[in-house]
Amino acid sequence: MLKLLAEDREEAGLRYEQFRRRLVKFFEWRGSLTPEEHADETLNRTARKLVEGVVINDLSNFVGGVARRLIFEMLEQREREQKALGKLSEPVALIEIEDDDEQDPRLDCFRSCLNELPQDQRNLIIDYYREDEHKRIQQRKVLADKLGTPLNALRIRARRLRAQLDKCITNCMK
Amino acid sequence: MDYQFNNENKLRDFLLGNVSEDERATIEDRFLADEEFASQILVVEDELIESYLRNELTFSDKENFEKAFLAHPRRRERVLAVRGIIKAAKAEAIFKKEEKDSPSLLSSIFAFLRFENAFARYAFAFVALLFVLGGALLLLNRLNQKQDNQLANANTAQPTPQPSINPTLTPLPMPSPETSPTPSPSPVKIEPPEQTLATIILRPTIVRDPSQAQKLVLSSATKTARLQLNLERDDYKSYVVRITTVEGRSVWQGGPIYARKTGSGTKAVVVNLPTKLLSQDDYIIELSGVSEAGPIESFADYFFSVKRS
Repeated sequence: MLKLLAEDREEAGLRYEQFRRRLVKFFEWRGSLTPEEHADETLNRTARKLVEGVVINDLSNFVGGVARRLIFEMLEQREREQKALGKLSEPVALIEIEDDDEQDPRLDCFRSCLNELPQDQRNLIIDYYREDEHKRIQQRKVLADKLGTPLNALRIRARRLRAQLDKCITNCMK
Repeated sequence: MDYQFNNENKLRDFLLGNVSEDERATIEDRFLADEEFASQILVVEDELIESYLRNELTFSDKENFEKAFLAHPRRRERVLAVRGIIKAAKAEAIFKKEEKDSPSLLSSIFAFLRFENAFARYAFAFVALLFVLGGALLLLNRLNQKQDNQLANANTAQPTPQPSINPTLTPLPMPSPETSPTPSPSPVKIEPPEQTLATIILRPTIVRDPSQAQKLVLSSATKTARLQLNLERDDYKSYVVRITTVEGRSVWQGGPIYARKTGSGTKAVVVNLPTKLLSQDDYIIELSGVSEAGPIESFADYFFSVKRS
């Protein structure tokens, strides 16, 4: 399967990881509670097809099809589990995000993870998120100009930093 | 079907579940195939979360967002992560502003030496002027002394001691820089709302004795009841909660819910319920665990009573 992604083994490995991450996100959007497992299963099934001799011209299209098949199986399984619980009178209740006074351990982790970032990245993430609505848009344009980067590139950079913080917070919470 | 996905509104609709199945499949296929497009959707997702947290979504978008994001543990965690960033960023911005308004002693001294304010500049000019005047006076004094010596030598008389002009420059007291205690970062003060949240912490129980049950007191203002179910062991991947009255009437059930660490370090399953579901009565909470393989097994009961004030 790596050969389908790139000739160079190292580059193929990199693309495999990127592809896997997108699959994880795909399953998350589709409501999977174990998106990593589903992503791995999708890739395993694709690899098995290749071993069986199936010719795949468009890998991402093929993998998308396998993923959708897996989603169908996931929904069937979920229905079986819900039946085992007894008939639900309501769908799974939303657990609201409320702003409460209780010390949220997540916030403590966030602060410590933020402090672990290099100063420039820390400043960037703080400057990016600190303002409200109208000021925020202007503030981000100013920030992009200051960094000498297009606004869209700044948005992507901020998003990646936030994802990095996510990982740190998850480890901190364990 | 070929869509121009430069339109980020279309991507927001996709994330909110407001597109047709065909459109959804097309976006997903492109997401899987195109890394750059994938980055763009993820940015839009982040900004959608931000808009929700800042209350910028329309009512229907907000509803769709809550269905799509808050009902899913992983996505809910992402929303909480973004909320954390926004809170911390605002707190940091306030701290920086306070530091600027009330600088520390050291930063004041440095600011003074860099002539960052008019006072520093005038003070320096004044001191410089004094040095110039002092130097001029000293020179004058030396000239006078020379003349006196010459006169004295000429008269050969006991020189009458002259008062020596010896201006000593007493150092001017340096204007003391503004001193103020280094402000400790004051946390962002969020005014507590009315007590709309009531919390009860429960342990598993074997004996269903109403007289021993913990009581949750709810007033008319309380909107949400937080039930914290402490776990003796966190053996399962996730949990399912079922709440009934002691008579067996079903009140609420939901899952999967993930255990979280509480402030005291114990693991607990936390459920937030609208209080309209809880009339004055006795309740049983049945906690079931969901294992890796999928089966669900009930393993603990919790018991509490609700009192309405």
